Amino acid sequence: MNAHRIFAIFKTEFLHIRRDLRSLFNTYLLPVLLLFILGHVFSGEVQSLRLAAVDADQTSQSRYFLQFLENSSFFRVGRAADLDEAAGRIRRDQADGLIFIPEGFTKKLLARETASVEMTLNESHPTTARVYLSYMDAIALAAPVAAVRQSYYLSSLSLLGEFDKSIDFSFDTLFNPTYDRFAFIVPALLGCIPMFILPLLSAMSLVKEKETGSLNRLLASPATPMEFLLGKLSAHFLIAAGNCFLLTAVAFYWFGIPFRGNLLEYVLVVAVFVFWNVVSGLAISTLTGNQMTALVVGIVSTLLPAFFFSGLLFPVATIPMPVRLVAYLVPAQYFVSIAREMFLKGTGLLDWWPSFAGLCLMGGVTFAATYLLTKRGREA
Amino acid sequence: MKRRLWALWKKEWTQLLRSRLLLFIFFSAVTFQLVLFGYAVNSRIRQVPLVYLDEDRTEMSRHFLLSLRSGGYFDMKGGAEGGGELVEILRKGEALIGLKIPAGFSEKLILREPPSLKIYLDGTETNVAFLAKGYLFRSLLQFFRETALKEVKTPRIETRYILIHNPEFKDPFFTIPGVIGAIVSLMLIPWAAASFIREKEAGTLASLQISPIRPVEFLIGKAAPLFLLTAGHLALAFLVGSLWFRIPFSGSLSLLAAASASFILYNIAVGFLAARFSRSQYQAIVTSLLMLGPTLFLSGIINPVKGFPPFFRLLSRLNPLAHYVTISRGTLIGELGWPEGWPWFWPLLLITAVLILASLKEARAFFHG
Repeated sequence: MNAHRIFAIFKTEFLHIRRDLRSLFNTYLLPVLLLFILGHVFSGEVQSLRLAAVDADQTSQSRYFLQFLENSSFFRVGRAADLDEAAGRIRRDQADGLIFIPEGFTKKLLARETASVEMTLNESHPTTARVYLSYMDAIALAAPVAAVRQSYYLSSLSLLGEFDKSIDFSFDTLFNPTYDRFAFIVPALLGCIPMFILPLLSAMSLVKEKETGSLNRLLASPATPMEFLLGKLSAHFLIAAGNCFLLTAVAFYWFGIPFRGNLLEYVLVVAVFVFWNVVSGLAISTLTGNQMTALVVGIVSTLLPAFFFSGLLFPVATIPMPVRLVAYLVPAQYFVSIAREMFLKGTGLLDWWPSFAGLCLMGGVTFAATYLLTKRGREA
Repeated sequence: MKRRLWALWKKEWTQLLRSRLLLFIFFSAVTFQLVLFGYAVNSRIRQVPLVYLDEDRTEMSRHFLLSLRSGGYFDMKGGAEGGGELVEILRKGEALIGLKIPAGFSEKLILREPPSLKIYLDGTETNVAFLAKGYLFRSLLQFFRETALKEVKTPRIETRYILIHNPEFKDPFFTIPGVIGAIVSLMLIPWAAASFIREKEAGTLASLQISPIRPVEFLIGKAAPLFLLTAGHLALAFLVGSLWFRIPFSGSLSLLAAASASFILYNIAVGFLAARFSRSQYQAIVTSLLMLGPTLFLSGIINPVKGFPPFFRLLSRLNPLAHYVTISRGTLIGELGWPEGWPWFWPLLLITAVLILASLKEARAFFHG
């Protein structure tokens, strides 16, 4: 290995990148733009649901039940004359669902039998639907209890009105007590966004040389495969690391995310993560022959998995088993879990070392594979 | 004109079919991924890890823990010895929920007073925390009713749920139409951009310039094979959706087809315009990614637009992908027809038309530039 040669390759690569200033600017603009949009879009709250209520029973009890629903801040109840009118409101997007209280509701309640109500939701997003249904279940359970037991009446009403601040059923949210959605989403995005674009961009930028033919000149030079790799890597590493730190700065100053971990450890984790991103870009560029193929391979192998398998929105543990194995091959998943630990819990290397080891392993394996590929490519 | 277009068409196909690897990935890997992603998003929380601290240590409290265990929502990670250990276990991430049953829990139940519990949630996973909170709340009320209020015989209200279009709560029904739209945009815009600019970079445009081919013909001749290829790709994706995930296709198929055609044209036009204002393939691809990023995530492919902050909801109204995904979701899993789909279709059509006109206007500048 010759440091001089590595530096020479580093310098040429750097010049190549610097020559296209517009693209360089765009590669810095894109992640920031994405962080800004995704940070805001994914931190939306569950809105209160507009229900059209059809009361076929028309008794004080059924009205009491609807009032009970209304008092919980999760539902906004508007009366409808019949099912047709309610369905029409859903169709015109004036309601998100309907609730139907059948005739005989009160009679059954008074006979201490099971009365039933029907709720229809027009919600294509199953997660959101489940949240509403669990609220509704709780209300349906609590309402008759409240009606029967006067002493419980007040507490359960306030229980439902303010889900969090009930008297006896107290919640304590650790690490992110205000449910700050930014704090949940933004640290995770610091891992996902680089994996969306960094491998893709470095792969295309490297494969460009194959197309223009300037790669042949480099291959004919006395540089060894290792020198070649390190020279190229270091140039792209610098650009990519700059990208990550810009993103971190946006997270701190725009989104105001608290950081409770150790800054030095954070730098270390980012370095290993960026290293993987750049190396995988190099790997893609050795496997493909032109920019278009590199692009498609990059989208399929890094961009999309980074989004779906990183635990950005739901923990990896909820993915059913054979498919979950894919997630363990996605470095963003390790980064996301470490970032959340560091930003929100303030834990250290000793607590999340398995994730860090996974990240290092991915980096090492990818580098070794790329080295072998480069070597083979040179001999061919 | 017909013959000239035919010649270009043949040239484009020859070029496309030569890149076997590209086509292979385009069709097979994407189809394979569609299946993977169908499973990746999962709204049902099962087996949320839970750690408890039982300070009551009575028959009743153990009974309550047992009822939680059998509910299936929680994975009981065992008991902690004290409050400190409970928080420590949560801090290490070994459990997402901590449950403290204070002393006097059963006493209160016997007196038919509302039971008290202290629950610690891991706020780093807000989505899970929200759902788990609902489950716990329900479990506690259920337990209260079964024990303390047993003799009182409280009446029950049972809720029956109907989720329009998706009665079985299948997550892929929501995910798949969105992912299909996203993949099409993601592949097609940079691809179209690269395929136009490549003629310039490789110098093959010069030989086209001296041929009798006119700029607009050049545009159409290059766009047509891309259009067909993507249409085939969409058809394949829909087929996978219907065969593998049993998506019902209950809406208007003609609306879906019209929206798909318009959406493909929109993507090609954006790709062309990115190429028009770029000097190299790399620059064109980076530019198209820059235009793609925001549209991709302001479309509600993963989370519903309804939950967006107002400003971003407004932006999503200008986003063709959002309109397309709404239509494809509506026709694939709902019963969306022309009258209800029209408010979504015309903006898509309008944006496409504007971009096509802009492309036609720029065709000459690109061809001779």
